[in-house]
Amino acid sequence: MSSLANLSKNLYHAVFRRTSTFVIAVVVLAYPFERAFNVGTERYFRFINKGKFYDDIKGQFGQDAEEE
Amino acid sequence: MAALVGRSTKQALLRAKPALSNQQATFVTLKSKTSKRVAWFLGSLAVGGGTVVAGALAQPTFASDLVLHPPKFPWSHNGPLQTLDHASIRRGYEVYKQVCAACHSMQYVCYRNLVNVIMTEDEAKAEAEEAMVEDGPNDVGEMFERPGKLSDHFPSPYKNEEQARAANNGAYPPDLSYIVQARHGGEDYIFSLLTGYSDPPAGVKLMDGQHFNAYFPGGAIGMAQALYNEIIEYSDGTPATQSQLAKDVCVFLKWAGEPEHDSRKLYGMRALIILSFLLGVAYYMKRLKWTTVKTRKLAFKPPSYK
Repeated sequence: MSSLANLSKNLYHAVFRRTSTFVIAVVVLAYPFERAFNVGTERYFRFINKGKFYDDIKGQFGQDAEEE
Repeated sequence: MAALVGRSTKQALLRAKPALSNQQATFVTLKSKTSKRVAWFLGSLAVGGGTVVAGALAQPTFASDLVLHPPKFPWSHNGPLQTLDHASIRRGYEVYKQVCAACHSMQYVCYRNLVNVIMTEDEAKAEAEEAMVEDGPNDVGEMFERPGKLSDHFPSPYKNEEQARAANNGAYPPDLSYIVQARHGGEDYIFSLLTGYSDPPAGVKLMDGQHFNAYFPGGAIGMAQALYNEIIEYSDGTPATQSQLAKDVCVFLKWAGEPEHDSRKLYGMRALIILSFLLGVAYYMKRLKWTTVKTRKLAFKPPSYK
């Protein structure tokens, strides 16, 4: 048996087989998934729109330069 | 409960097939023949297309339709994932403040809206303090003027519409807060209008105080051409040509009308990713639950009379 099949089998028996463990897994994984998904999508969004955000243009204007 | 629903639907699907009355052992099939499906598809396509063409031909033509439509410009925020160019918004704000604000109000935009969109909080406070805002009443019941705060709206050049009309030959300079949403063609139209002034063609008579603009419905517009090369100086050193001024002010007005523009596109992308994943899950679940129905075979077994 390959290690991948082994892994999925262990995962099934440890987590997905019982509703109690499955619900715990959902609740626990929701936060890291949400963080990773939001940060990942925002990073991609900022990458494809590079140079157009306010963070990219800070300090380019005359008044900013005088203050600094 | 689920078993009950499943059983009844299965029976409904499998019932009333004529094969059984013929006493033949045919399998119940839920799919029609491929050629039949293609014919259905082509037939409905022809009917649908005919309906669309007939509907289009039945539309009357109005003289008011004969206006010059603005061309589609390649804005950098076109497209489902493209954000507004914030440097352009900032230059557009400078154009609005120095040119447009002489006649046009933007009463639904506050100075606080500018913070972290085109300027820092300190800069926005300094901007607000340049404007004198009427406040009050004070202890003795009188209105007084004070420097603006972040929470103040942009000051209006006129007190009310009547005053604006009286000062502009009867033409009311519209509020620019949501002007991009309020005009057909959006920022394309506004850019064309700002750069589209010309001498009136032969035969077109304009009244006093009117100007000719081919993009304005009717052609006669009360607003004179406002944007010329080098009419203002940008604080970031961008050459202030007429088309650059018009483009920047259009992007600024687009932002003013849709301040949620950038985050809307980001959340749209997130929603589509999540929903397409859920679509896959739903498709898998459907296939899984239907396997028992789809693979069931019915055979008629003749009774054996001994």
